[in-house]
Amino acid sequence: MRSPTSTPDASSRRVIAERVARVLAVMALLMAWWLTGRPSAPDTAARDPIVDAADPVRLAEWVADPSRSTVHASLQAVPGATVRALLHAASEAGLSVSWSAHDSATSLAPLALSVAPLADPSGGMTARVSAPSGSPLALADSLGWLDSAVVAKGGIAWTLEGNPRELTVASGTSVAVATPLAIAPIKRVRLFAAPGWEARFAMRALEDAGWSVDASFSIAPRVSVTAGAPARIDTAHYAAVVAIDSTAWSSAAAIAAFVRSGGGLVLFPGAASGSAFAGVRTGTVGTPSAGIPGALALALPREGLLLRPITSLRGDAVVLERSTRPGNAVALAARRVGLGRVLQVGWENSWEWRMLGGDNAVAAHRNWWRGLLHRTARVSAARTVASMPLPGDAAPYADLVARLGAPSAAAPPSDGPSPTPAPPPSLLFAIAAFALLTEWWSRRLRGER
Amino acid sequence: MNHTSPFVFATAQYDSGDWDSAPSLPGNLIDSVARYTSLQVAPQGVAVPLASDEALRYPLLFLTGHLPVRFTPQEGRVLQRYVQRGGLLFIDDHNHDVDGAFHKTATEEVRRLIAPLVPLPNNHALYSVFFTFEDGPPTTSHELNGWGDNLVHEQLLAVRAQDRIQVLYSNKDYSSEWNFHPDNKRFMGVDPTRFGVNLVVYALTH
Repeated sequence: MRSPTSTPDASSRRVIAERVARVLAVMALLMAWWLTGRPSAPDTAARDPIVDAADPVRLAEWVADPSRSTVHASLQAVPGATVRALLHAASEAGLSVSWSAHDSATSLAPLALSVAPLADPSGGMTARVSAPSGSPLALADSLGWLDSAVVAKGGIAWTLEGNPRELTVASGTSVAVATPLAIAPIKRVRLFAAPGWEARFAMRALEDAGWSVDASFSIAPRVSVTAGAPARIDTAHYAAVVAIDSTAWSSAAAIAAFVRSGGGLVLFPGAASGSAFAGVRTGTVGTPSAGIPGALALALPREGLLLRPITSLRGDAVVLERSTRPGNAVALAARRVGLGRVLQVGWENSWEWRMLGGDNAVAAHRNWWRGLLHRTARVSAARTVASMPLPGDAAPYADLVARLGAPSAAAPPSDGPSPTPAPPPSLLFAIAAFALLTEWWSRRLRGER
Repeated sequence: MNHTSPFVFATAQYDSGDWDSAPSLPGNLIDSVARYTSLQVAPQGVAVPLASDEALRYPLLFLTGHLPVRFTPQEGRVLQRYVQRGGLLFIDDHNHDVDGAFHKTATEEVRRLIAPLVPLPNNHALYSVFFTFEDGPPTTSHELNGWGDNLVHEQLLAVRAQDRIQVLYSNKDYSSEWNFHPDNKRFMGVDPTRFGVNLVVYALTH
């Protein structure tokens, strides 16, 4: 049936359109036939595999193919140890291996985890994580999640109780794993002090924190009272020496040798003054400054203590605490001496904090003493790990770079021209069917068969 | 330099009872500490109100009396803090009478505020820290003087935490035994205050 509005020109255009539709259908069919019969291009796949860290077997088949000379890994996440090792082995075997992030650089965020045991008789460790600022982190051990945090200033540190066998930190698709060293910490401390309240409460704080304290108190000429079983001062017996006053001066040479061989020394003003410890102390003992009345029960309780500030600091000394009093005198400083550490304290009579401080004074005083030992005490001879050539699972991104080099900006050029992206055959069949149906419908409308 | 502050002997002053019933005891004990040891000791003792936080400045406190003891709420609070923080309270029954008012009330107050008193083993470090008392607490000449319960009390009582003495309690009447002028020691074969020296040395070193 003819359309009443049809004109001769319109009819001829319609016929042309029908022929174009027919040609289009034929061309689509021909192209689909050509695509389905075309052999696949192995170079493209070899050049651009997406490495699945969960499927190292498939990757092994790829790199083991003798027909390949180059492999470029387009990574969606930092691969696991097996895949990294496999690519490294392929590279070492002569294959040209390169890699780049598959879609975004954020999915391959650098992440590193280091774990160090705490110098504490009850165990524990410090886990330090380096990651880009703003990265969300989740920390876990073999039993489950422990904590989560957002990185600020490029890193974060956790102090953990107990001794987990393995720690994992995850940020996005990156996962770092570290296995803490199994150590048997030395739990003994040698205390040098005159009999008095500071000695009594220093012992209590340390013993409550799990340390065994050895001391010898001179009570009268040729009469001493011992606590524990004082032994030779060496790193086999003691993790640290605490020297509170001049009673340590007669043993200064042995204590200095102990520190140089890896022991820790906590030096209070009464011991640091004079010349006995001049070779190891962080600075000289300054003019005393009386405690601020009432401060023991407030937010900064140590300001209520007598302070003998540390002055004339050595160049290698690190200031760990300053008083908030005018002048901001140094109250705590540390330095390395040989293999050991010296921590010099400016505060005196810390027992007053415990007895006269606020409601949590006993715990705060104990934790303060515990912290002094954390910073100085020797953990064990196994503390220094033999240097490893590669970062390993503790820093998977760094390990990847160390093994394969920096990421490529793009995939390396192939031998031939890049193949033009082709439409899938199903789309071509759909186009052909649509064109033929349109042509048939148009002819039927104008009365043709 | 040794910056250790000298030891100050402190007597607890409480509202009920007669806290100052042994006025010569502090001076006598200070004399003994200075006589037998090289410890730095203040020549004068102090009396500190048990209701004041000042008591916390003296980690060894001596408390005695004859009369019934009932600590005020504030005294009770300070006493609890004192013991929890590591102070050592030495209570001596000036009546040496286990059926006396002081004993019954003082031990009940300790039980109410801190913990029940239990016998202290006679081989405890307190008895050997300086002078050695092989049989435990030395007997006093007042225990069998016809007053009190007329018993020799074989053991002291104590509240302990992890073997540290928090409260030491005596029925032996050291308050009478040590309550004399130090010059009179020259007339005695054995100085009875020697056990007091052990108490001070123990407090300063344990």
